[in-house]
Amino acid sequence: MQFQTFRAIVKKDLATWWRSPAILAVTVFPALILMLVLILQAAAVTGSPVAIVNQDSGGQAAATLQHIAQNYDGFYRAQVMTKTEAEKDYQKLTVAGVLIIPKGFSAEIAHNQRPTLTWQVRNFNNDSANDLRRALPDILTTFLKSGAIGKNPMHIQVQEHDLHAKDASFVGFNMIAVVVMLVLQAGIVNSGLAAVREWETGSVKELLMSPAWPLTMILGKVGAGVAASDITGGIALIAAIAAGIVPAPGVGLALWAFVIMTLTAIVGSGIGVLLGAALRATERVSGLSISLSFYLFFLAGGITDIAYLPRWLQAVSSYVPNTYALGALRQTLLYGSDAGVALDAGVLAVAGAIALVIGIPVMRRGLSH
Amino acid sequence: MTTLKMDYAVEVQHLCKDFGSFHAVSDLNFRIARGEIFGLLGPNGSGKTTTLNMISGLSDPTSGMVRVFGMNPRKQAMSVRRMLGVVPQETALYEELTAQRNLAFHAELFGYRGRQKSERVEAMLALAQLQDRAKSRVKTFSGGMKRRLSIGRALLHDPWLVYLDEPTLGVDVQSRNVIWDYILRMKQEGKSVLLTTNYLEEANALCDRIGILDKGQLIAEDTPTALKARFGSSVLALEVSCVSSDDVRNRLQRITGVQSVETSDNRIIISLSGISDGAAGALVPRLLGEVTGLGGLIRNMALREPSLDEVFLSLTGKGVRD
Repeated sequence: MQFQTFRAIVKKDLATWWRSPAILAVTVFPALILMLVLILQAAAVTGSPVAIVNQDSGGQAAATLQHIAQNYDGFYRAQVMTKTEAEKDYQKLTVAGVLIIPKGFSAEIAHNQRPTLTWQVRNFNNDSANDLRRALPDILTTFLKSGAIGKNPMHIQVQEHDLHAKDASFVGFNMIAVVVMLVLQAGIVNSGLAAVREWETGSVKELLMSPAWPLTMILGKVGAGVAASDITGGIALIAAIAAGIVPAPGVGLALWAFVIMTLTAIVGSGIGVLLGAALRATERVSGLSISLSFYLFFLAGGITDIAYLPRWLQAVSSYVPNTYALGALRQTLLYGSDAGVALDAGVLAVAGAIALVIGIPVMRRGLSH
Repeated sequence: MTTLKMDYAVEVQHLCKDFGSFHAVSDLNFRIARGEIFGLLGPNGSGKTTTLNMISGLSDPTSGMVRVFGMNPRKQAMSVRRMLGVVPQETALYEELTAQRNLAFHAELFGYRGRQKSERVEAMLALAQLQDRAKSRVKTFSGGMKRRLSIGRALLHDPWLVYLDEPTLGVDVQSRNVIWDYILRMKQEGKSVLLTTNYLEEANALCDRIGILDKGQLIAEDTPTALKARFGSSVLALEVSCVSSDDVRNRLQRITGVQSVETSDNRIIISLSGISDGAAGALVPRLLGEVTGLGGLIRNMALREPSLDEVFLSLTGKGVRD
């Protein structure tokens, strides 16, 4: 391996990438557009807060219920207000629902009576309305468990065992998919276009007339693609962590995340070299890489969990490397666990090796012609 | 520069290259001596690039032999590449990078590091007269500046053989003169130069010897002076009217001392051979008399040396840029 030559090619390709607005745009725009769509989608199904009206201002039980409701995740920073204010905001559609704790609520609880809560839900959108409807039993269960009512009158106890130790936000869940798409897209575009550019500008002759081995040239292009992918994905991830969309991982999990991103980048760069050598035109490589990234994004469960995909698509997704990248990054970054990540990394390493084993000979043949 | 034992920078013997049933190069033989500027001329598709690719080791000959400083460019590719500097026609620079970065990349490919790399880069920037634009991106350069930088890049690793493909194509006159100076300086430094060009004036000014390729075959190889002499010692160019060009050609071709007569529209090119200056002085009035005798009116006339364009035309039947 000619390490110095490899380094020179990586440096040159990275410098060219950084100074090529068109290539940067092809790398970043598809992911940015997708991110925007996801944020708009999240805004559409979430949005307005819930109003809480506590008419039993002196009661202990009412205060506890108010506190639980106010801090409930699905109420989007619930606001406590008077009934008049709440009715007005409800009519103006600035609140998604109004929960009224009636006067005498605490006293009725204390005397084993059954107070009535009023719950108004804005039902424009079935998804968000049902989310709000499901929220109230959840709040009341928490209230009953809180001890505010004395002994829990219900004879049924519910114990929840979740798949993941932590809940993940909708935007965070999809943001990881955007990062994976960005990494893969950057790998394909940078390695692919770095190869194509050499043919289009004739600079391939300069490389071929230098003492560099063909394998070093190809690995240099893959190396530049991997570095560009890690930089692009890393910036997106750091921005997501800084914005609070994705929780900050510990050192161990961050290292796992880096390994997974790098392996994904190797897969992308291998595909890029293959496309670049086979297509040899910027427009064709750019167009195909964007389409490919989008298909792989959806097939890997980018916009929804794979479990919600039709069975035949689930079968297809098990052959898509993104699936494993996505699973591993969600596991490490969203759910704070490394369970199964080593296996995902292994699958990605095999996929990267396959991409290189196919891509390198195709480019070698291109160079020799 | 290390002393080389080999007499020839390039040696080509019975070189052939076929693409399927198409013979791109057929039985090519020529040599380029050390310190010689050799021009390879030929119309588009004549086999120049195919020949250069085989000399550079970029493609295998179908048959025949190529040696660069006695080495096989395919089997001893790494050694040959270190001896060869290439200035491709399309300049092949990285336009988004600065001039300095382009040269630095080339230096790194050839194993230069640290101070040695900086010194070579600075020297080549000076040679290309681009020190003040070292930090500018190449895409902001004119065609002439790019060509100069491309030459600087080719010379950075101090090659013994420099191959320049159409080095002045599309550059202004000022840059062309600078490039010609570089090429002549390479010769002074003992480097061998292989040049392809469509500008016969350029070949005439620079080349020690010229090879003319047509349809993959070397149809002539000699010094510019000797090649021009093949066309005749002098050329009489006439611009006439009121006369049939066929009549003029038939009449003049019978006269002793006239090698050939070419006519187009109202122009007549008469090549004169095997005559001294004094004899030409006697022949010219006779030729003019023949033209006027046929009723022709001479509007313009010039007696001059033959040009390489005329040589090329007579050998290949077409202009070099056709």
